[in-house]
Amino acid sequence: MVQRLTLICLFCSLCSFLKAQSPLEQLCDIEVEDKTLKDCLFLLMQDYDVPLSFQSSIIPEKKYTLQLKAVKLKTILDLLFDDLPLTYKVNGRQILLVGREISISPRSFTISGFISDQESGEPLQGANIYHPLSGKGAISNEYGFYSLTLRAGNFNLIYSYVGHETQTIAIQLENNFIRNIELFPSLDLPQVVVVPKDSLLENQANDISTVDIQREAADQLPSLGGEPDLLRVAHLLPGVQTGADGVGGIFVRGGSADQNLVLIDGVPIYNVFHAAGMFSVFNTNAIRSAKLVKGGFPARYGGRLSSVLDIRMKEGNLKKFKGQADIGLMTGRLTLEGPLVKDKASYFISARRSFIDWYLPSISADWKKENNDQIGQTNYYFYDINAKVNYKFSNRDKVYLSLYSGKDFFDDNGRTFFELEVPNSSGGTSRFLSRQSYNDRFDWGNTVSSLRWNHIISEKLFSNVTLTYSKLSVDIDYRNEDNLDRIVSEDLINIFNVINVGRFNSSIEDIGGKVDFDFVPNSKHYVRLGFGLTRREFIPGALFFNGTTDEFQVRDTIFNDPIGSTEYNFYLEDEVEISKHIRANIGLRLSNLRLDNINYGYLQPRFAINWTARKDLVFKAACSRMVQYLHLLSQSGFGLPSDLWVSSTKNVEPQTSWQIVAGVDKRLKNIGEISGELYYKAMDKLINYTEGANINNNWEDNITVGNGTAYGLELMFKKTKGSMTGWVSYGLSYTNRTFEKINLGRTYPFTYDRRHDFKIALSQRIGNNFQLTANWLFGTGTAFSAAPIRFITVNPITGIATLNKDFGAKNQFRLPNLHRLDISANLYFGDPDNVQHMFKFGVYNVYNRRNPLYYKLRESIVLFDGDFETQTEFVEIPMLPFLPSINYTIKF
Amino acid sequence: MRTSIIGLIIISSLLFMGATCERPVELSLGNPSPQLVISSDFTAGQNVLVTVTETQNILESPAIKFVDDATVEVFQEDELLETLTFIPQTNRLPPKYVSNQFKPQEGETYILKASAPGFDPIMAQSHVPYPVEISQLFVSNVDLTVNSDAQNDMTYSYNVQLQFEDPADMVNYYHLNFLQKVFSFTVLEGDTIIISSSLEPVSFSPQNNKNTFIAYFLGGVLFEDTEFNGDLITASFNISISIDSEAQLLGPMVAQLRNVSEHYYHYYNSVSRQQTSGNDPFSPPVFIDSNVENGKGVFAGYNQSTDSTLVIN
Repeated sequence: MVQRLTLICLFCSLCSFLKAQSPLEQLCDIEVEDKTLKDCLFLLMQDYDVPLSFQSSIIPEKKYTLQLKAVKLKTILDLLFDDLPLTYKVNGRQILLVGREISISPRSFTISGFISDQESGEPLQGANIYHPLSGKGAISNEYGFYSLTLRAGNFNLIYSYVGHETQTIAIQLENNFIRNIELFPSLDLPQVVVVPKDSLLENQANDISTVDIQREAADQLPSLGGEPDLLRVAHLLPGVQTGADGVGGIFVRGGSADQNLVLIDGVPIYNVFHAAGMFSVFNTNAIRSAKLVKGGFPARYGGRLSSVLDIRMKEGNLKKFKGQADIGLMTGRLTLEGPLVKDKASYFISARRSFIDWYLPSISADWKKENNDQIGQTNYYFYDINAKVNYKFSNRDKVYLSLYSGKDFFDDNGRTFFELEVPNSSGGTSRFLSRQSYNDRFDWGNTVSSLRWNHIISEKLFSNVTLTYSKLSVDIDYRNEDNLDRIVSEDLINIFNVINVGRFNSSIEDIGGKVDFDFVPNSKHYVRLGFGLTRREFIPGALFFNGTTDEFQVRDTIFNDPIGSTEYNFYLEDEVEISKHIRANIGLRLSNLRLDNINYGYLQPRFAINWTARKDLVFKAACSRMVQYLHLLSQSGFGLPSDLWVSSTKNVEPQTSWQIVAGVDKRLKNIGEISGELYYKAMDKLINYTEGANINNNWEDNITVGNGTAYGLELMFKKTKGSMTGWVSYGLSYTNRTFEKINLGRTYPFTYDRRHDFKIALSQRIGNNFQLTANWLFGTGTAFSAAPIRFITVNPITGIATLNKDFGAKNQFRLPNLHRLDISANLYFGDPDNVQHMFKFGVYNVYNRRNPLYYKLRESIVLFDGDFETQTEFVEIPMLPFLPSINYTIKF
Repeated sequence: MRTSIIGLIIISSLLFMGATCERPVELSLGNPSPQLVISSDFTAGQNVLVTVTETQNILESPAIKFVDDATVEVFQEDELLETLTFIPQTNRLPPKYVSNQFKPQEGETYILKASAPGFDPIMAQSHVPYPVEISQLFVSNVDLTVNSDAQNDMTYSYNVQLQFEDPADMVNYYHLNFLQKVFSFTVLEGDTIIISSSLEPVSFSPQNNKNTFIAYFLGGVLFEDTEFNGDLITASFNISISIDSEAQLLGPMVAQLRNVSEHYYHYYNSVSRQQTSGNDPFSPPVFIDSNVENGKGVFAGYNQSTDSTLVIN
C-alpha cells in the first residue's frame, strides 16, 4: 500500500515537473509599442529564452502595442497569432512556428452583453472590451452594456476594468450573440493593462472636460467632520469653485449655482446640499460611480449651462448579503444590500442621519443665555435614505426601482422677559412685565425616484426606458410675540400683545419619462439617441402672513402663482472614428419648453473631437450650446433653502450658453497624466433679483436680465501609479456678469471669480493597512462689495437729510485669499473576505486658518468723552476653525 | 417687516452652522478723497436751490458737513446763466445756494457746475420735462375705523383714483405724491376754530415694489410708463390716514403728478431702494444712480400738475 502511494506521488510529481517545464506555461511580461510581430518574437526570445523556431518569410508584417504582465506564453502567442495564418507546435522544449490556413470571412457579427462585478453583480461602467489584433474595442455604458462588431472567426477578447482582474476570453464568432461577463475584483493593479494602438480608450479621461470622481477618493480624502463627501472631492478639481468651507454651492467654470445638472440615476435633483453647502446630500455608501462634465457636453445631456454631475447609485449585491456601518462625530450611516433571488434580484438600502442635534441644543442654549440673556435653543439635523431594488428578467432585461429622500430640519427659538418700573402720575411707580419670544422653523428636502427598464433589443441596440420623479420642497414657519403686562399685586393686566405668524413655502416638482437607445452599428460608430418629456410644477414662493393683536387680526398673503411647464427633448449623437487617430462626438439636441401658449424651442449643436498625435498624447477640442429652462433666484448668494427655483415664462426667456474648449492630455509612463484645457463660455439671458428688490413680491416683476462670460485655463497633474497617488491642479479664471439693473448696468466680477486656484489632493499608502491623505487648497478671495464712503444729501426746501452709502462698483473688493489644509490617517484591518474595519482620524483646517465667509459693517453706540457716538467698523465672519474628527467603519 | 424676519431666520440659520465669533478687521478699501455732494430738484418757473455737502469715510461717525465756500453756477450749453448766491443756515432750513434771477423753463436742459477749495469740481446736467395734467381725481369707498382703546383715534381709509394721459412716443417717468390736508382745531365757546393746517405726505409700503413701480421713501410712488406708453391711465390707490378726532379734521386730499427727468427717477428710485433694503450681508448692495460727475447727489428737473378733492364732505 505504501509502495503504491509512493509510486502515485512520484508520478504526480513527475507530471507536475513535466508540466512546469512546458515552455508555453512560463510567465512572461511583454511591453511593446507599435512593434512588428517579428520584433515581438525576438523580444520574447531575448528576455525569456523562449525557444522559438520559425522562418522569417512566414511571419506577417503586422504591428502590435501590448502591455502584458505575468501572463503565460501560450496566452501571448494566442493573442499574437490570432487571425493570422500562423500557429505553433511544441516539440519537446522547442516551439515551432508554422503556417496555417485561415478562412477570412467577409461577414461580421456582434457580441454584446453586460459586464458586471463578480462579487456583487454591480454593472461596471467604462469597462474595456478589446480585440488586440484588430485594435478594435468597446467600452461598457453606464448600465454595463457593451457591443462589439468584429469579423467572424475564432479569437480572444480581453475584458478589463480598473481594480479588477483582466480576463481573456476565447470567442467563436459565427453569429450575433450575447455574452455577459463578470470580472473579479482585485486589490492590486490590473494584471493586464492593454493600451489599444489608436487611442487612450480605456478610461473616460479621454473625454474632454470630463472627470470620473472615484467614490473611494471621497472615503479616503480628508473631509469636514470625517464625513465622506463627493462634492468636496469635486471642489478639489480645477474649474470648480465654492465659498469658504463649501458654503454657497458649487460653481463650475464661472457658472452660477443653478447651472449644474446633478443627476441621481438619471433624475435631476435640485438641492444637493445639507447645511448651506457644508455637506452634500450624497451618501457615498450608495454611490457606484460619479462623473463630472464641465464642457464639451455630449448631446445626451441638457438642461443646464455649466456642468453635469452624473451619479449612479449602487444596484445591490446579487450574490450575497453585505452590510456596512459608519459612525463619526457628525453622522451615522447604515447600509445593507443583498440578493432577493440570487443572481436575479437584489436590494440596496442606505440611511444616514446627522448627530448634530445631540449636542447643538445644549451648546446653543448656553450661548443664548450668555450672549443675549435668552432662554432658548437652536436645533438642526438632516437625514438621507437611498434605496434600490432590481430584477433581472432575462439576459436581455433588467428593471430597477430607486429612491432617494433627504430632509433638513432647523429650529431656532428664544424668549426674553424683564420687569421695568416706570414713574406714575401719583408719584409712585408702575411695574410692567415685558415678554418677547420667537420661534423659527425651516424644513426642506428632496425626493427623487426612478423606475428603469434596460433591454437589449438586439446585439447592436440597447434601450433604457425611465420614469422619473423629483421634488424639492421648502417650508419656513416663524412666530414672533411681543407682550407687555402691567403688574398689579399678583395679577397681570395685558397692555398689548402682538403676534406675527408667517409661513413661507416653495417647491419644484418634476414628473417625466425618457427613452434612450445605444446603437452600435460597427466599431467605428457608437450612436446614442433618445427623447423625453418632463412635466414641471413650480410653486415659486408663497408667504402667508398673519399679524394679530388682542383686538384685531391682519391677514395677508403674498402668492406667486404656480407655474406648470412641459419640456420635450430629443437628442442624437454619434461617437465616430473619423480616421485612425481622430475620433469625434457629433451630436444635436432639440428641446422645447411649452408653458401656457408659449413655446421656446432650441437647437443645440454639440461637437467634440480628439486627435491622438501619439499613443500618449491627445489633443482635444469641443464646442457646445446649452439651454436652461429654469432659474434659481437667490438674494443672498449663499445657497440657502430660501432661494427660489422659477421657470422660464412669457417674460423670462431661457438662459443659453456657448462654450468652446481646447485641451491636451499627455500620459506620463509609469507616473500618471498631465493635462491642460482652455475654455471660453458666453452665457445669455441670465436672471437675478433687481437691486433692492423685495424677494417676497412677484418675482417676475423684480428681476433683471443679463449675461456673463467666463474664460480661463485649467492644468492638472495626476499621479496614478505607485504608493503615492493624487493630483495637483491649477486654475486661472476670469468671470463676470452684466445686468441692466445691477451695478448701474456696468459689468462686474462674479462673486466666485477666483483668479487663481491651486489644489492638491494626495494619498500615501504605507503597507497594506495604513494610508495618509491630505488636501490643501488655495484660491484668490471671492469678490464682495463694501461701501468705502457715505454721503448725506439735504433737501434745500424741507431740510430733510438722507444718509446714503456709496459702494463704488459692485464686487470691487476681495476677501482674503482662501487656503486650508486637511489631513487624514486611515487605518484598515480585518479579513477582506469577512469583516473589515476602518478608522479614519482627520483634522479639518489643520493650521486654523480664519477664512472669512463675509464682512459686514457693524454700527454701535459707544460712550466717548461723556458723549454717545456711533462707532462703525467692519467685522469678519469666519467659518470653520481647526476641527478634529474620528470615524469608524465596519464592513461585513 | 416680513423681509427682515426672513432675513433674520436666514442669518441665524447660517450662524449656527459653524460661524465662529466675529471680530473687527481693518479693510483696505482705499482712502477716497472727499467729494462734493449736491441736492437740487428744479422745476419750471421757480428759482434753483442747491445744497452742497461733502462725502465722508464710512468709518466716521455720520454727520452733515455743509460746504459753504463753493462756487455754484448754472449753464445752458456754454452760456453761464447765473452764479448762485449762498444763503446761510436759518432756523430750520439748511444753508443753500439760490438763483436770484434765473428760473428754468420747460423743455430746456441746464448744467450745474460746482467747485470748492479742496474738492474736484463737479458737474451735472438735467432738463425740465413738460407737465402732464391730471385729468380726473376722485375719492371713493371712504371708511372710518375707531380705535377701541382710544376713541378719539380715528382712521380714514379710502380709495383714490387719478387719471392722466401719458405722452406717446417717449419714455416718461413720474413721481406721484398724495398729500392729505389735516386741520387742527380747537373749540372755543362752542365754535370750532381752525388754528393750523398741514399737508401730510402719504407713504406707501415697499412691499409692492417692482421694477417699474416703487414706493418713494419719503412719500408717494415713482413709476415709468414702459407698460402703458401713450395710454390714458387710471391709477388707483388705497390710502389710510389716522387723525385725532378731538383736535383734527380731515381736509382735502392733494395729488401732485410730477413728470420727472430720467435722472430724477433713477436717482430717487435707487435711493429709495437703498433706504428700504436690508442692512445685512445677505442683501445685495444698492448703487445710487447719480448724474453728478466727480461727485454725488442729484441735480434733476421735473414738472408738476396738481389737483385736489375732498375725502369727506
